[in-house]
Amino acid sequence: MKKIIITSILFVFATATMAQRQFGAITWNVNFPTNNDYITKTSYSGGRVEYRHFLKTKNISLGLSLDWSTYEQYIPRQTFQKPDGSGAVTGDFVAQAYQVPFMATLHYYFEGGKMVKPYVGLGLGAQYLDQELYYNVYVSEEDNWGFAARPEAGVLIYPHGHHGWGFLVGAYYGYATNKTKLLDKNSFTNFGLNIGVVFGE
Amino acid sequence: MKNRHLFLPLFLVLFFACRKYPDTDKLSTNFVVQTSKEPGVDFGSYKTYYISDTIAAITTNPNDTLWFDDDAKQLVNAVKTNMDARGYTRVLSNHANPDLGLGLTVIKDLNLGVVYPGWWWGYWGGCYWGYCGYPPYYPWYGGGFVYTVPTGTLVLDMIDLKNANTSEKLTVPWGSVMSGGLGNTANDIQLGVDAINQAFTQSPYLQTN
Repeated sequence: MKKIIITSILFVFATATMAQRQFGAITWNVNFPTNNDYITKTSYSGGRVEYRHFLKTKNISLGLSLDWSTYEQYIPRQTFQKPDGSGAVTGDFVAQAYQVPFMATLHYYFEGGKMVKPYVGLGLGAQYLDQELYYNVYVSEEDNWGFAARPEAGVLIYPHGHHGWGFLVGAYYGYATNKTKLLDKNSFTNFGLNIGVVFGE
Repeated sequence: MKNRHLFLPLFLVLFFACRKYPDTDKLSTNFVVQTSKEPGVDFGSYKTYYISDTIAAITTNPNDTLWFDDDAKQLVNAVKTNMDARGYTRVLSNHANPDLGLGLTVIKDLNLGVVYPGWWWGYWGGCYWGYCGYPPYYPWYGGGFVYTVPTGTLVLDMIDLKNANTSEKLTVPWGSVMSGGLGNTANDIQLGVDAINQAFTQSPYLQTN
């Protein structure tokens, strides 16, 4: 996993420096879990690295993106009944989820003037999700891959015109098919905000 | 342009720093108590039970298979108190044809592997509860919450002896896996007693009527 991530990062940075009509971005991501019964707390430990390459039409780009975020929450002692009535579990837990979506992206850009470039986009790819439940002195772990889709919208801001660097502010909705056996769930979704810097046009 | 390359090492540090070990300070030492039951079983059809005053211990020491000191008695008594309160009558010998057999096991000093359907405690080999050659049967395994049975775990199994001859199996219609640090702290026997009480509290269907 680490090798894939590092290779991807190197690829993104290497290609981002080669020519114009493309850019790389690094952002800080804040994620809000939206369909998780036991993790409801906002994650501030997240980020994204991405690369976008413009097509000849100029207002469309294709790219790659890699996100990561950690969710963490303490769950006070309580009894959870299994939905089918076949059992129950009582305890207090620390739940952690580590989410890594890896996506191919398509973005469309609107005319926003010299300093501003609004966009909408869609990312499709795979998401690694590692969920851990700490209790007493133990930990239970469940990790898997799922299909992931992410519609997003945002704006590129170039304070000095399109000269090499700028800022990115965006919002997105992440949907992934990662299963959580523990809760009998077949998806993991989150809403997110990201802010960061872009290098390149 | 050159400054751009400074972001790579910075980014890598950030990336791996973000996956941190969680803050587990808030976690209590109370046992995590799981209970499972066979769907559709009428627990009112059983009236009597037997439980041994000793606890089977699964440890790294092959000679250390039974646990029968005062601490063990406290745990066994907690099971008796709860069973009696639910209307079941304890018989004094497993030869007195009890409807249910209760087995209390403690896992110490080792971690057992993943619990799969059909998995059976090792010490129940051969003849058990006077029944020889009947395969054990856990109706629910595979659907548990926690898949490993680590050290310090207390396991309570309820075995159907009433129907063993007709089903030719030792079915376990109800069981509890209590995960805690038994053997780690001075007051953990009380925590074990609390765990047994909780196992019954979250299983209100264990009633004779």
